[in-house]
Amino acid sequence: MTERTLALFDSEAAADAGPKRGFRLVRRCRLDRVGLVGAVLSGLMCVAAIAGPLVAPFDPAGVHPADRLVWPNETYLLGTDELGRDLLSRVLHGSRVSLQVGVTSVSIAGLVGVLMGLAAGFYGGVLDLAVMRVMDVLFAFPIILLALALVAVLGTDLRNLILAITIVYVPTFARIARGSTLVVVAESYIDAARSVGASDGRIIMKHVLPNVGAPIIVQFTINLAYAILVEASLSFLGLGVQPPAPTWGGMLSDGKDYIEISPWVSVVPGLAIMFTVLGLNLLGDGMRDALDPRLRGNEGETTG
Amino acid sequence: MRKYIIGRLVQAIPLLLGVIVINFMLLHLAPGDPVSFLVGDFPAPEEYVRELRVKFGLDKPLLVQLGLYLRHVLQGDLGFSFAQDRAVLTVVFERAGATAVLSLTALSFGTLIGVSVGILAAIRHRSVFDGFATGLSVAGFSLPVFWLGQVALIMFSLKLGLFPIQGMLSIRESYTGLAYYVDIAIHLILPALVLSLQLLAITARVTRTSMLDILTQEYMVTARAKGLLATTVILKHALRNALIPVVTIVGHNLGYVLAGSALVETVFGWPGIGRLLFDSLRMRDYPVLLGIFLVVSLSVIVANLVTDLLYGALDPRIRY
Repeated sequence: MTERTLALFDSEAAADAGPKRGFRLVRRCRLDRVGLVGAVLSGLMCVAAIAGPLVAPFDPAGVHPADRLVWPNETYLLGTDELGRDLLSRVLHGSRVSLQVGVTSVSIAGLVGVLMGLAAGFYGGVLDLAVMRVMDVLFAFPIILLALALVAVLGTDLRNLILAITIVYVPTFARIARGSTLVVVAESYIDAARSVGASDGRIIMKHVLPNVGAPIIVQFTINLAYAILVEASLSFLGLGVQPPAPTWGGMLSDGKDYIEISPWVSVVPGLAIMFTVLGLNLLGDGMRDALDPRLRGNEGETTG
Repeated sequence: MRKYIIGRLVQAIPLLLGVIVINFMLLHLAPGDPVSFLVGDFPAPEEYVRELRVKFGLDKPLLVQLGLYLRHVLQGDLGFSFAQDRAVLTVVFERAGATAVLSLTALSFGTLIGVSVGILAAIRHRSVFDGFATGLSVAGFSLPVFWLGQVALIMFSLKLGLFPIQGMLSIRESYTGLAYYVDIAIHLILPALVLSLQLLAITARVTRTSMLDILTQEYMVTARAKGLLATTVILKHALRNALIPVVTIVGHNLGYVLAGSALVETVFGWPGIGRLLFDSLRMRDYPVLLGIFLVVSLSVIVANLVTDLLYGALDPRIRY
């Protein structure tokens, strides 16, 4: 408990330090080995998404009829698919689509959800009740199913895909933000701020938000992992970004029909999805351990 | 206790209504009016379209429309599928059996294997097996279930020939009696295992943490000091208490299993609701799509409710 309070004061001090706040958070976030593996995998994913399309050896939509379903060789490092398209180029371009959809939707969901959670936790009462009941209803749906229904109803395009994934991730952010806000609002420094005449907006932005930041950043990383998985699942079902745009889920769906003769067409995008989701998950877990002082004490016991 | 049960039941009502309202909103979010959305590209007769307009009261205020919709849903009228020329509820319930068999088997696999792995990992804390269990949990969270299904198909069905490739029943033979159930069971193993992986991962993780926690309790030391056998201590004293959080996990993950079955059924050609979902997406059969959405969401809410009630009954320390 003392450790926790200290940590709260620590980040309170960090909040007052102004521009240095971000650096302080990074310095506090000392990752363990598993977290570092996650950080490296996530970093590779970002590099692939940013630089991949520039270094990709072929046009991802370029068809080479003579080289259909070629095994990996020196020309096609990861082989080709049923139309003779280079799998390496497609996977690299696909990483950009995945990251774009994931980051955009989870960022908007985070912004909306956190604001709702902060308001609900800070003001309480009817607002809290109304917001959280709506979140409960959204939470009752299995995430993939809700996203799928939304895209099916709205129509399949990139904007609707992002909108659907945004909607399904708002409740997790709202819940986390509200929960943490309730803890912070009970602290005496909030009373202190109020007694010197700080406005609600100032208290929320200056004192509450910095102190609920850590769990939200962790949640962002983990939600990003699952958002990429949801995007891949929807593309696999033909509801994501439409072909010929290269998406990992779409590539898996194409590879499904050639699984007997050319398994690598499915294996390559599958591994890409796995390592990305794995990396973000490990990074999220590592950050949680590093940022949450309650876990730090018995780290050895629970994470072995 | 009774107060808790009643309270929990009352809590579930707005949730159930909320789910129906969201379904209604989905109908209205679609481009065009709900009727043109529901009928879609199918050559529906003029009088049917008129009937639908009356049914949804499209000329009336939105709140009245919602009331009408609620009444129809509560009466079990989820619409009519022109693609299949049958009532939506009939179509969905026809497939529900296959999905129930697959999901419940996956739930059992996930729970049994997950709990066993969790116990062993906790007993052999920080051993090689513990590391393996952690790896398994992480993999379970990260692997796309449809990809895992494809890889399992290649390895176990195509290359090794251990399991049938598609469907729920053999196409060439038609078995009766016991052989019929054996046939289903053989087709069931691989998709159920694939579907269970995520649940297995969560269950193993929760069991492990919960066991580690309980193994350090004083009554465990007492039990050991009394000279009881190690297995008795583990099974009778530790497991019983460690399983309480596992019950919640399993119950609350029914939704994930049902959603996952949509993808797994597509890969394995399993004739359940998931496969139906995929087919109705392709056919743009929206009434069936929304029907599935509603039925699955309602089952998830009911499963959560049952889990919470069970949890209250299992743990005498919980008094709300």
